[in-house]
Formats: sequence, C-alpha cells, structure tokens
Amino acid sequence: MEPQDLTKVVLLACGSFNPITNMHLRMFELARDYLEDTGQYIVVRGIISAVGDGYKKKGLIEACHRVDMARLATDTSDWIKVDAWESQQPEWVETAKVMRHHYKELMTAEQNNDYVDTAKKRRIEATKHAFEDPSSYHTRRDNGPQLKLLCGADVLESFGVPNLWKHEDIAEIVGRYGLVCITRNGCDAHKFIHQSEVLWKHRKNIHVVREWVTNEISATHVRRALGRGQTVRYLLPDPVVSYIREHGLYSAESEQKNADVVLAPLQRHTGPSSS
Amino acid sequence: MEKICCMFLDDAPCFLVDNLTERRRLLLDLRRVLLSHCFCPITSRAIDRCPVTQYNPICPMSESGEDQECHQPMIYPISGQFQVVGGIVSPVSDGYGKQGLVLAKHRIAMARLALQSSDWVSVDDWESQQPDWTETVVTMRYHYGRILKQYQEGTGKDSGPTTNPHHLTSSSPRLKLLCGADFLDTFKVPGLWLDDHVEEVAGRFGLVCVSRGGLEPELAVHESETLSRHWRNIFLVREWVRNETSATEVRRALRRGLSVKYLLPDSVIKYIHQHNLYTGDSELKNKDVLLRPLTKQTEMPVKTLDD
Repeated sequence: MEPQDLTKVVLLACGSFNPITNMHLRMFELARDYLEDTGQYIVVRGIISAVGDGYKKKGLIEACHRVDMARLATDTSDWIKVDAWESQQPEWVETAKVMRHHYKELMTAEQNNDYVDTAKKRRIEATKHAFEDPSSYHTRRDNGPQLKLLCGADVLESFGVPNLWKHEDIAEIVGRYGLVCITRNGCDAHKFIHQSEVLWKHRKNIHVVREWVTNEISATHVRRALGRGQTVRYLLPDPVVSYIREHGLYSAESEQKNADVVLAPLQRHTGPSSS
Repeated sequence: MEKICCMFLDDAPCFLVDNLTERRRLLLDLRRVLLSHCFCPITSRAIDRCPVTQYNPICPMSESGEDQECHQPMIYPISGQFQVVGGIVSPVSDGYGKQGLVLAKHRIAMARLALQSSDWVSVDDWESQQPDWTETVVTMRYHYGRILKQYQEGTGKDSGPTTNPHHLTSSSPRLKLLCGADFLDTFKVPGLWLDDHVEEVAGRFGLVCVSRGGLEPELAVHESETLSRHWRNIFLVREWVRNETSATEVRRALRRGLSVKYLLPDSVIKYIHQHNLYTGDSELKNKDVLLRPLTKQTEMPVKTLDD
C-alpha cells in the first residue's frame, strides 16, 4: 500500500498513570507495531492523558506530579506525547468525552494543515459533522486520522462493571473510534467481546494485541514497593525513579488518600450525557 | 554483618534451559534480577538514610524485631544481615558455542551501556576473554580471589594467603552466584556439571536465586542432595512482578523489525542497530555446534583409583 493510502491512527491512553511505568510505554510500542503490521495503518502519534484528581481513586497523587512524570518518561520518544487537558479539569471527565475532545483537536489540526486541497477540506467538514452527530457511528474511509483508545485487558473487562461506564459511552468508544487492547490472554479478551452485544457489534473496531512478553509491572505494585522502601529501578524509566525520590512521592500516607471516597464514575448518577 | 558481592554469570552451562542462557545474553536477566527486592539498592538506602545499611532481604522472622518485608517463605529463616557491596556481570566467552551467541565484544559493550548508570553493578570481561569456555567455579574462584585481595588491601588486614579459601574473617566479603530459578534445574542435567563443582558453588560460595512465575526453586533444591545439604547458603527471592523479558523474545522481535523500546535501555538498542546485531543469520550461528561444557568435561582425564 502506498503511504498515502494508509489510515492514520492516533493512539490515546487514558489512565491514572500513578505512576507511569515501562508497561504503559510498552503498550504504545506494541500497539504501533501491531497496527502497522496489518499494512492498513500508520500510527502518527501517541497521547498519554492522565486522569484528573477528581477521579478520587485511592492512592491517587496530584495530577501535576503524574503529568510531570509522564513527560519525563516520554522524553526519549519521538511520537508519544503527554496531554494535560484531562488532568486539569476540575471534575472527572468520562473517557468518551476525553476522546471527543482529542478528536476535535485532531480534526482542527488536520484542517489547519491543509490550505489547497479543497476536496479534502470538504471531506474533513463532512467528517466533522458526522462526528458531532452522536448517532452516526460508522467507520470512516477518509484520510483524516483515526483516534483509538489504547488500553489493557483490564479496561476492556471493566466495561462489565456495573455503573462504571455508561452504555452509550462504550458504544461511542468502540463504534465511533475504536479500541486497541493489549493483553497477555487473547482468549479471554475475545471471549469478553463475544459475550457483549455492543462489543460484538463493533468487533472490527477492536484490535486485540497479544503481549508475548509477560510484563506485569503494575503501578499498584510499584507504589507498594516504594511504600516499603524497595527498589523500582528498571520498572520505570530512570528519570521517573529520580523524580519520585526527589519529591518524596508514594508513601503509606499517600496510599490512603481517597480511602473512604467513592470513585467519581460510581458517584455520578446516570443522566443525559453532555457533549 | 556479612558483605556480599553478587556475581552473575552469563551462560553457566544449562543448554537445556534455553531461556536462561539466552536471556543472559542481553543482560535482561540482570534487569529482571535487579527487580528483585533482594537487591533493593543498598546505594539508595545507604545514601538517603544511613551510611551503612543493614539489609535483610529475605527473613520472615527477623530477630531485630523490625517489620521486615517477607518476599517468600525461605528455605532457611536467617537473622543475619547482609550488605550487598557489589554486583558483577560476567558474560560468557564465545567458546561457549551456544546457538545465536553474538561476539563477546558486543555483549560486553552492551552490558556496559546497560550498566552505565548503575553505581554498584559492573561488567567484567575476564571470562569473555578466556580462549575457551570457563567453568562457573573457575570464574568464581578468579573473582573471589580478586575481591578478597582488594578487600585486604583496602583494610590493610593481612589474613593470610589470599588464595586460601578457608581463611575468612566474619567481615570479609562473600561471593554469591546470582541466577534465575531455572538455573537450579540445570544441576541435574547429566554431563553438564561436575559434582565437585556443584559442591563448591553451593557450599563454598552460595547462591542467590530469583524466581518468578510458575517455577519452583524450592523443589529443585529439595531434589538435589548437594543443594539440600547447603540449604543455608541458598537464598531464594521471589520476584512478584512478573517480568518475563527474555532475550529470546527480544531477539525474535529484533529479527522481525519490531520495537524493543522499554525492554532494553535505549543505549543498548542504539548499539544493536548500529552494529546490525541479531538478524536471521546471527541466530543461526553455532547451529550444529555442541555446547562446549558438554565436550570439555568429557575431555577431562578420569581420576585413577590411586588418587
């Protein structure tokens, strides 16, 4: 396929990144290799979007630190960037909304880059209108970049947790955008998709990427190790390890933050989704 | 307080355990091993908290009464304390004959790059420079002699002939072999180890074995007479974070043009690309060659009954 025929993809990873680990970074690399290997895509950017403090997860330290650490971690990457928009919002923002925000930004950038090709501009306008119409979930075949949510299998399976996700948000994420799910266990992921009507409907938009190198560097484990004064060297990029030490982050105390608070998504009652 | 220098030998004979040897080739096992809390950097604690750190990595019932982190029910609950004073990575020589083994000079260079930022682990090329493959104990004896000599020169103590293995004071450093759990299984492979050598590695020196996943190092120790006898000298450390970055997988990814970023240090990745290492061809090297430990140890003269 000629380069211009390839569909451009931007990978968006949302999460606590509390702290960012080598596992998070590996997800991007694996996803890019997988998508480009299909011969249909070219991954042009990766975005790390750390959740805001309003998420109220237990042990979640301040967003400014989490964003700074993510920036240090991606310093040596020429395609993965950190975006602080979500982290700066006062209240927790649903993932679907975060995706809409980033998609809008992408389309605006795309439009601004292109002055002469009016045909392309018209296509982009059409796509923008389609984007703003929540009922039009279809896979676009234009040349604008596609935005896909990059996640682990745990996020996929969290779709099943009651009251954590709004049904229409899941439908939007997999229908309008797409999912790239990194997992050690391909069977479980496929089974989960198979057992969900909405996921099954949009299965062509869900890419399950097998991770052959088992890499269970969870941020939870990292925080536990740090709380116990143990090394996390080689689990996180060195600059992040230094940052944590310099700022004295992650102690037994910080782990108790939000201990009695209900997670924001669960707190929020179902209501009309605001666009 | 016992001082330990932990030594990590690349490619100790274990040809059946491909993962182990191949992993070591790219020093990924070092990374994995360093994840082990056994090696909680004495440096960070020493620098940040106190000049000398008493670090007991594996005792579930410390007599000090402190709240010790128990990583794994140990074969042997110890109340002693250790200070890890150094780490040595010793890549095997090209004479080992393992399939896919790239030149020692590259493996040494990559190891050095990977350890550039470490203040307690270093690379030693003595073993890799030897013309033939060197038995694990021989390498350990060499390093131990060197360490002891340095220590004695440093402290000004004269504790007798430096090569006398029995003349140890309680504070002279010890050398222990650092390995993965699958390594313990290699002791029972016929023809791979000489009995005397196993005795020396486990008895005179000692092992620090980092395990992960489904492997059962306790079982391997239990099933070996020699290892069981020296249970006091064998420290098992459980690595709770499963991180199976194997050199095999990394080489496979490289052959296929896939990314290995965040699995290896950037400097090592750059080196690999600069020198075009790990291709389909490089994997075929030594394909039909017998692993050196198997041929060398059968060449050794058989002791007569008079000996």
